[in-house]
Amino acid sequence: MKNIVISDDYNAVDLKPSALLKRYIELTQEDVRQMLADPKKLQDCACPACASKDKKAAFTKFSLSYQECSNCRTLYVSPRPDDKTLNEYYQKSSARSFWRDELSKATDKKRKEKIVKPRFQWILESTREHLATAKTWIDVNTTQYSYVDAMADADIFTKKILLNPYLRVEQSRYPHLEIIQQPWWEQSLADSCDVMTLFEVVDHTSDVDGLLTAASRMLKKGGLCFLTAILSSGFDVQVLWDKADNLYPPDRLNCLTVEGFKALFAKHGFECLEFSTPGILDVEIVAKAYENNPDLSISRFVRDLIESQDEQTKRSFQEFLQSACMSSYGRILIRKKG
Amino acid sequence: MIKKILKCGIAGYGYMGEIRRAVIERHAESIELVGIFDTNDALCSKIQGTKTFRTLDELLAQGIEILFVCTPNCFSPEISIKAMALGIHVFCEKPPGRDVHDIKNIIAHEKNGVKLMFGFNHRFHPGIVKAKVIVDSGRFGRIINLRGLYGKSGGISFKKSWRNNREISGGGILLDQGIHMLDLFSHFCGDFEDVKCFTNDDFWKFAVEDNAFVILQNRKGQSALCHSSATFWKHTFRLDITMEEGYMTVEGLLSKSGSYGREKLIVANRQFEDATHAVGNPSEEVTYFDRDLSWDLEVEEFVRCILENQPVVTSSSGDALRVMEIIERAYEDAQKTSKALQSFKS
Repeated sequence: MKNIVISDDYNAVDLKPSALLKRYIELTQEDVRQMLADPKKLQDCACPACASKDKKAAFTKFSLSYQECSNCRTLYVSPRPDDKTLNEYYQKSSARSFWRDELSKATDKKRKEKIVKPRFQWILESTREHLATAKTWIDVNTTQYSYVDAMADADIFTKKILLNPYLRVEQSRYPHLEIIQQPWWEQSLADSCDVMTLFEVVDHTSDVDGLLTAASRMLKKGGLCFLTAILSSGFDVQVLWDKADNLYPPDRLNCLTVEGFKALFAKHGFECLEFSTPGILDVEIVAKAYENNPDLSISRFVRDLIESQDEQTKRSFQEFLQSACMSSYGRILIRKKG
Repeated sequence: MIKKILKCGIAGYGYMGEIRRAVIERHAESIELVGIFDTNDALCSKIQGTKTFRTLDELLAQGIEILFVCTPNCFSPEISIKAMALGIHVFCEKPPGRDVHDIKNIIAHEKNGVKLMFGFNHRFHPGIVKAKVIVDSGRFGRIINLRGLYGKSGGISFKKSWRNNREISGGGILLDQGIHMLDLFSHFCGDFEDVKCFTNDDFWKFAVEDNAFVILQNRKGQSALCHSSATFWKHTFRLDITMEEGYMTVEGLLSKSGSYGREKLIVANRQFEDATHAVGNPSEEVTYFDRDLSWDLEVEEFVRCILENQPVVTSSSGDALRVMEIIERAYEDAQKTSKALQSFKS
């Protein structure tokens, strides 16, 4: 297994401008209240990572309760809505429309340069490294139009499938993509894909076991699956916990730890080829949260880091978080055992 | 891939023989160890779990389909040739003999249908595999130059090693360890026509070199510099690859002892004044590797070539000849330089 450490120079505001992000969260809160918070439509669940039922209450956001798994420390919402309800939410919510039509467009250039391009480079090079014969690529539920453009350009694959019920993508605009506007659980593809991408999909899936079972079914033996996710074992989530701005339902219904992910992959017969946390924003996110709320309860060490240390020290600390897999942005490559 | 279990044997049960046995046992679905040949009685009496043979002929008579040749350099050619003559596929450790004459002799007996591969396992190290993928993708343009440092510290038992007996080994640290770095140079850049070299044996004072400095250039204008050493008190592996649009460094090497440090690949874009970072200090991506699959991957590749009847294209006899030619020319150049120096001093 390998992990990577990256130094780069963008900041959180480049990707999520404060005013737009604030508006998106407000809309999400309102949508959750209207569409997801009905207690009759929520079901208790075990830890989505390790299946342990042993948990303790963590905090509540938008009237939904986060639990912390006592076994693998995964943070997850329980009781929770099922995937059909979430599917409806993502198709109809005004927050998602705002994301697609405004936030995403406003940050598109920076996202393409700093996220989409390196991510596709990762996919193409890792595929050449581990499965040079790969022909078929399926992406499940991406939330970004710029991903669709990048996918259409990836010419090492002869067949590219976009499995996505949310994005409004016209087949005529992408003649080289096979667009299936269905949710993953209605899809019957089996042993047909070499490569799968699940970008932050685990985070907002209700039935994570079902998702991994479907992924395993769709992939051929030896097939690769690229995932990204926000990790609750990451620095900014651990420090800010319930005050973390990037932690809210349903986008972060699950926030697994490194251990949680490893347990999940082992359960579903996947071998982990890479587990990296190449996030570069943890320290900045904590600093920003403290700047916005000086009464925030944080340890003396962290306060000293963000208030008194110079930029080079902060950068070195962020690199340490990456090398120790302690950043909250996870980038993972797994292989279906053959 | 076609399913078949290939019977194999090992000739020579030293350090490499043990490694090969472990790899064979990890691939029981495709290869089966029939027995081991070694002339050392005391060593053979300690081997358990498989048959042992005191003569090569006895092992070759067991109906084996693959022979792993893990003997000292002076024996490898004769053993490989004998096995190939019987239609047995041969996986031979590096170096492929003591000199160019040896490898040419092996190649002359490479029969149609018999597969021959050499143990240049560094090509299969994870950092190198990933670096090669990036070079081949063209992301950073063509390679401008390479620089390799590869060395170890020797040690008390180093003096007794057959590797430092020219009669047996054919050369010193360059032929024993530096050969991997030179092979990687060829792996990335192909042929090198011009070869310059300095060697010395000032510290260990064996009959073979304990340091070699090799400078190469090819017709594509690519240059390479290799320092192979038995006086690196800190074990070191480092390969720098400079390309038109960026650079990569493979540093550290996953090994049995772990003494070369954690294997990592550093990748960065070239940055000039038009970029946000300071000139000469670009942002880097570092990949850390934790598993060395090189021994397994090269044997899997060899087995695949046999079962699918495909030509050996990685670590082939052509690759072996190419690197031995570089080493021979390096030794010749070092000798010329040494003579010139002596003449100058006198």
